[in-house]
Amino acid sequence: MVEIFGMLLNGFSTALSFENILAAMIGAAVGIIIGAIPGLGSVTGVALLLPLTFSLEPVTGIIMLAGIYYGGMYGGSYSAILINIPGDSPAVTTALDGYAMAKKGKAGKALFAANLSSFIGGTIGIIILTFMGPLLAQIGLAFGPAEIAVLILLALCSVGWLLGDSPRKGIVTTMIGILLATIGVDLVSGSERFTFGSENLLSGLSFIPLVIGMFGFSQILEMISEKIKTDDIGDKVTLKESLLDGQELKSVIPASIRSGVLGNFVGILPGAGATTGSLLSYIFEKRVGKNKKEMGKGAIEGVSASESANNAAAVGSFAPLLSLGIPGSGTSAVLLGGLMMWGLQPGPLLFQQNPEFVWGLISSMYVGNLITVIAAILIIPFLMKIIRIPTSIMIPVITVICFVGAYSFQNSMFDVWIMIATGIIAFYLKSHDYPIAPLLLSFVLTPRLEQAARQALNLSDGSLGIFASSPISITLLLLIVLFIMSPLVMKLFKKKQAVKEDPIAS
Amino acid sequence: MLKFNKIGLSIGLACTLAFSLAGCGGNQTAGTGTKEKEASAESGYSLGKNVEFVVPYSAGGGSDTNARTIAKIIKEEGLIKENILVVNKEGGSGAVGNTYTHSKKGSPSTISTFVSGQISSAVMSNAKIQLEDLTPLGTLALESFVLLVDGDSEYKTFEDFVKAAKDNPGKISVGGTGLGGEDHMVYHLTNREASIETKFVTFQGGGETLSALMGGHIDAFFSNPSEVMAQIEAGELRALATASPDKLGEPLNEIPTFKELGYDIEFQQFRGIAGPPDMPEEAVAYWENVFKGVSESEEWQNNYIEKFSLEPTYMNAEESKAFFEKSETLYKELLTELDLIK
Repeated sequence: MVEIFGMLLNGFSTALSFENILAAMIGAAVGIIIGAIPGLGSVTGVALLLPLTFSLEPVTGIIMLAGIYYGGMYGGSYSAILINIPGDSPAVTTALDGYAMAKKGKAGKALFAANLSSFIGGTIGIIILTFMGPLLAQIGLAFGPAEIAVLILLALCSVGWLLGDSPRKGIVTTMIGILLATIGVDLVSGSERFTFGSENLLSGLSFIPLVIGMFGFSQILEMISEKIKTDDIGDKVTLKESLLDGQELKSVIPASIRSGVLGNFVGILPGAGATTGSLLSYIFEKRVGKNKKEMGKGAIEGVSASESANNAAAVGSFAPLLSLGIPGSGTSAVLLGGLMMWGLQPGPLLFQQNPEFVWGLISSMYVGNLITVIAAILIIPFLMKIIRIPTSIMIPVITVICFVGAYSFQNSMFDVWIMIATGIIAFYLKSHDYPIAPLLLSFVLTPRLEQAARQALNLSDGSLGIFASSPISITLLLLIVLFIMSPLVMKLFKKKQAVKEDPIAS
Repeated sequence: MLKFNKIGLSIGLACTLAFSLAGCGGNQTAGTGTKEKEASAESGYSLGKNVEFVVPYSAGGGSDTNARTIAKIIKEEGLIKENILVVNKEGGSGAVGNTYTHSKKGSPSTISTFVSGQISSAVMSNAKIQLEDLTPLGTLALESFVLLVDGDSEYKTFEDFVKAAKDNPGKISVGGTGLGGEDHMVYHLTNREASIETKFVTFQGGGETLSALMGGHIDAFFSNPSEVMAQIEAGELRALATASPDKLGEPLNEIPTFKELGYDIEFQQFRGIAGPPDMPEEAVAYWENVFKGVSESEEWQNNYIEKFSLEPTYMNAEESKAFFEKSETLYKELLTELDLIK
């Protein structure tokens, strides 16, 4: 413990140099911008800026890239809250409550809560990384295909009927998401599924055009058909009113802490990622939080849970990267390439061979996270102006964002057509009260589930026993049963109570 | 150094802002912080317009890093006058990029990274654009595969592994990153040459395969040496054999080659460059000259080949064509045996 503090202090002397603080600031600013632009996520940001950092000292370079990574997680929430287009996949659950809050004229509060929760989640993640990173990374290895499959199943089976008013409609859209996710070359057998001979479909539908279409474009269609009147809201919103009051802080802080811990652990697991992290935390919050009934309709806890979790997960993926040399997410895979370009060998020996690098990076995360939250809060007043823009101007602007975002993701016109088509489908579904979020979440989770399940079955020669062969998977299976059964049990319990109360009342 | 850093930073920031405002995800001009040197194309041939350097895979991947490094060196060494624009045309396991390059028929200023995977996936999916539809321009690096087991594994040598596989046919699990990928082909080649039967389990990417091995969920996997060097050095992984023709460089020089162990297993991935069909002969010669310059530069040796533990090589257009064709024949044979070619 004392040793860690010593190392950390040493690290701070590196992190607090002028150059490194500057690098963290630039990283944070660029990350927020890239994260906020739909179509550009932290993976793209880090990948594109990587070559530019090669002229820097390795530690300065990675401090900047790490800044982009967590800055991106902050930025992802802005477009989710303001225009209902999640900047990246972990922000899908942010949009659910964030945009609902914005529609109620509480966009400022939502943004504030998102930033604060991101900060809390990030900090929790960094503290865990500092003291238990290598240990947790080792534990993460115990999650094999079977365990990952059950974990994702846990997330997936709660998606449908948790997010809508009607469980039946939620399940329908969940199924559509699963169906869309199966398009492309099957990794296990190599055969093409639902590609209709199109080369564009070989690697499946991409998430970005899908999310832009289903959230952004469908909303434009709604605006045009005058179902949403944004003109009534936002006129009186001031920064002062956006500050969270004591009551709201009481909701935000506990939710952020719970989700931060959970999200961080999911982020450490191999291949589970920030999306699974924020979704599981959101669902967990909807189960245990005080305000669970309002979740999905504009509850501040919903924003907090997903934002805190995705920041914590982003930090979490650094644990296996630094201590084992295993990238836990797409972005950290790119960072791994960067580390190698600098001549560093991420792996079990990195902590011993390059302590000044590792601890410099970890210390810089504390500094960087603080810088990012300050920058993010300073941006809020500017963002607030966006909500005051009249619909007649917003519609063309968002339309342009949708098209540019879908195209720029991989410079492909095909993605633009996908965006338009899914936008129209989503508009139709929404106008019949089918929730869209379950579709997107199951679309993200299904490939992971399918792959992990088939890997497990391949390893066990087809025996289902592998899914209950370790304490971890048995625990997760029990949680699934608990999750599914709890509404039923609660109902029974309430009925009994009602019966008990009745005689007293009468 | 400080001054240079600042310049680097400000250029970096400027570029970032420029493209984030433009919202163009895949494009980026190469060569920041360049020292302008007078371009000196020996032949006097000039491309006359900016070069489009196609990467058929996503930003940040192996081919992307490769292209951006080459572009940077070309600019720094002043090998060509024009600007180079690296463009990611990902999708369809390289097919989208191949098709794009093919569509620039006859253009002297379109080049593309070309790796083993672009041949094998084209063969497997019976894609419209095959090797014969493109113009090979050069080969700059080779990379082999090592067979890895966990550091605590009971398999100390490849012989132990073969014996265990013979005692329990189909029980030993070998991880890999996708059907028909290079690791799958070398896996099959090993099974065939050692007359053993094992089980292939596919994962999404090397990182996941690595954690499955280190977590004890699979028994072995084939990887490029560069991706596992740190783990081998730390004793977390053990390399049983390498599929390279000769022993690898330090610190992996202890690993025996399959050939030394008496198995006819040789498999190397290549990193090359290709152009569109009907590229003018002068342009081919021009590019040969440029890539020779890249492969001889210190920057390439130190900051690419060595950093990624690749095997340096230079093959000109004709040699590359022969080498690619030989690879294509081998892939077709292996993929047919794997029942992956329809």
